[in-house]
Amino acid sequence: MKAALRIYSDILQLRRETIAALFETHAGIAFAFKMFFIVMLIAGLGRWFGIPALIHQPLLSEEIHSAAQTVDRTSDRLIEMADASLKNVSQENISRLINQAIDEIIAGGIDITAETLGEALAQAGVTPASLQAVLDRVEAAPEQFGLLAEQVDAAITQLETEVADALVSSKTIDQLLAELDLTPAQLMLLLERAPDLAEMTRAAEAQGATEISLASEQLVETIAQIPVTPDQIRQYLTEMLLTPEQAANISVRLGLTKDQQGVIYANLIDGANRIDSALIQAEEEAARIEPPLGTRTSRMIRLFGQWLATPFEVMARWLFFALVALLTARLLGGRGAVSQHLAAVALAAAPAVLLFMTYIPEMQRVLPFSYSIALDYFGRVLALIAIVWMALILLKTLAISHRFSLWRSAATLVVTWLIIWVVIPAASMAALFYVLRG
Amino acid sequence: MSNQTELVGVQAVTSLSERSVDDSTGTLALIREALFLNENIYSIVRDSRSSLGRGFAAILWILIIVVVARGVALLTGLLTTPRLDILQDQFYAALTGMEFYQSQVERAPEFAQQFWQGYTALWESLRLLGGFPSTTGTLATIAAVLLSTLLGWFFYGLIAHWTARWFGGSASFGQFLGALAFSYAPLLLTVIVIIPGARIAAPVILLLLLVTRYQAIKTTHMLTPGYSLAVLITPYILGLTLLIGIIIFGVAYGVAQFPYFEDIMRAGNPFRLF
Repeated sequence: MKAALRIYSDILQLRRETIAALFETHAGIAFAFKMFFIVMLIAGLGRWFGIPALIHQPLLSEEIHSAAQTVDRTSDRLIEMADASLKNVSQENISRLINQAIDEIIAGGIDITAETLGEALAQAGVTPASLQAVLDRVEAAPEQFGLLAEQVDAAITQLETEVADALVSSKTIDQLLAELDLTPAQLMLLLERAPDLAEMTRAAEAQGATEISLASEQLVETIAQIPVTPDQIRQYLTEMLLTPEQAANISVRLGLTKDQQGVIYANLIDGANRIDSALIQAEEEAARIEPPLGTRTSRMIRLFGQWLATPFEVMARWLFFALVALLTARLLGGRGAVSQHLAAVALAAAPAVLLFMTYIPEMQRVLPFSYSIALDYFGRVLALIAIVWMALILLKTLAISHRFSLWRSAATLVVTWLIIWVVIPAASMAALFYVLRG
Repeated sequence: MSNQTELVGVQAVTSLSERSVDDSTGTLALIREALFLNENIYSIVRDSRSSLGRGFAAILWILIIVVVARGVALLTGLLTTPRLDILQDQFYAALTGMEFYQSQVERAPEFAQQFWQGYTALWESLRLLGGFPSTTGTLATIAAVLLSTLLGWFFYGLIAHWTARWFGGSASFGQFLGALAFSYAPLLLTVIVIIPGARIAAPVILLLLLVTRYQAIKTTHMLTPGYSLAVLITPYILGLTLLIGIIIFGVAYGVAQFPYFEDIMRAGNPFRLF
């Protein structure tokens, strides 16, 4: 051990006699190769700084678990929001609010459209979100609802005209009520919208008109020509004048019964539960496909393997250069054997322990950002020192192994670089050109 | 002071234990020395009584170690990589439960077997591409290593020996083959794959094989470095030329099967390529 350290120290000091003595014996050449491996393994120790990141890196099952928790939180929030908006849309509330809104509209003589209805509901405290949730459940869309309202408006106008022409008596009115299935209050409300109609009604009653059947038939015929069916009118009026029974009808139509509210909640919760159970299943599957030794243990073992392969990684980068350098050195008069030449290249790796920090992986997840950057740049500074030192040792060891001067040694390296990056590509292109074109 | 320091260094070098190699050295010891690029072992093998026998034993030892290492690497790899077989089974169960599959099987009963074969081949390819260990991949690698090593040893040895003799080499074919077998020592570096995550690039092995073969050729046939280099690369040049010829004529044969290609080319060689 002591001798090995002594030799290592001499190599770093570029001591000629020691280096030459190494090339004379096979033990010395073997020492050079062993030293290369050990030095590169020491440099590769920087990889082990990646252990904290490997330990903290979540497993697949943990990532799925965290995704499941996110879905849980999101669905809980969605349910809370739905709950908050639906809270205002309970059966009693909606009937009361809509009733109140319609009363205001009718009393104000405003045309009933989707916009006016919406405004009135908003004023009554029904939020757009809850109204939208309600209206979405309606078979007819709000626009259709408004269209229906317009149609009914037109129908009522027509009705008013016809009623004005017909001789309306109380019996007629009764019959009309029977045909339309309207409550007296509803019909009166209609009639109240046409003051003349009310007047005419009273006048007709006073006159005791006799053409009841004809009038009622005419009325029925007229109503039949209106592009709104009696059912629609009935429905519309049902919605407009909300008695508790009619409110119950609306709730059913709008899907706001307690049962249906329960269905909405159940659907929401069921959806969340389904997603949840899918994620739980995925988590279980992820746990099943983990390596038998466990994921984190496997990561450590693989890190060990990568560390062990460090010298071979360096060889992969430099062996071709070294072999071409051998040919170049021989062309320039070198007399070193293959083993001596490769041992000379291996000895040049002596300062490579300074490359230790270049093998440290990204530390930004473990260290503060400024420290990880400082580590990176300081590692590069040390690497620069190592590269210069290694180049000097290589010049020396090549010169000793091939028994020529340092200048020839430098020329060997330069010519090798030119051969690899200029001559070989140019020759390959020329050969290809010759083969293809002749 | 400087001379004394240097003397200490030289003494440290001489204190390194030199392993002596001679005819009595065991095959494994010779293989180890070959790995450390000790040229002397080739002359020892050449001069031994049964060069070919020693060489054959060496190559068998190398192959046994490499094959065992591959097997152990498969086991350690399976212990440290995700269990793709479970995923594979689940996807298979899902696919075979689909209506499309059922209808295909009803239409053609052999579809089930074909589907299973194709599905298994796809997953093996995915394992190979993703670097996951697989039994099929390992067996294929072992077979490739065995065949390429044994056939390469013989045919490369044959062509190199003829070329060396042409250049004035003095060894017999048996002597040369025996020595050449020890040049396969760099294959032992692949043992590192036993540790999951450890890899050695194929070009490293190939370049080291070139180095050891060069040493075997130079030492066994006692040629100059230039001729030794020529003997080293001649089998590769011949093999490459043969391969290029096969490819060129193979493409020509394939293209000639197209009925209109002949007419187009006879019409005037439109791009003046030929």
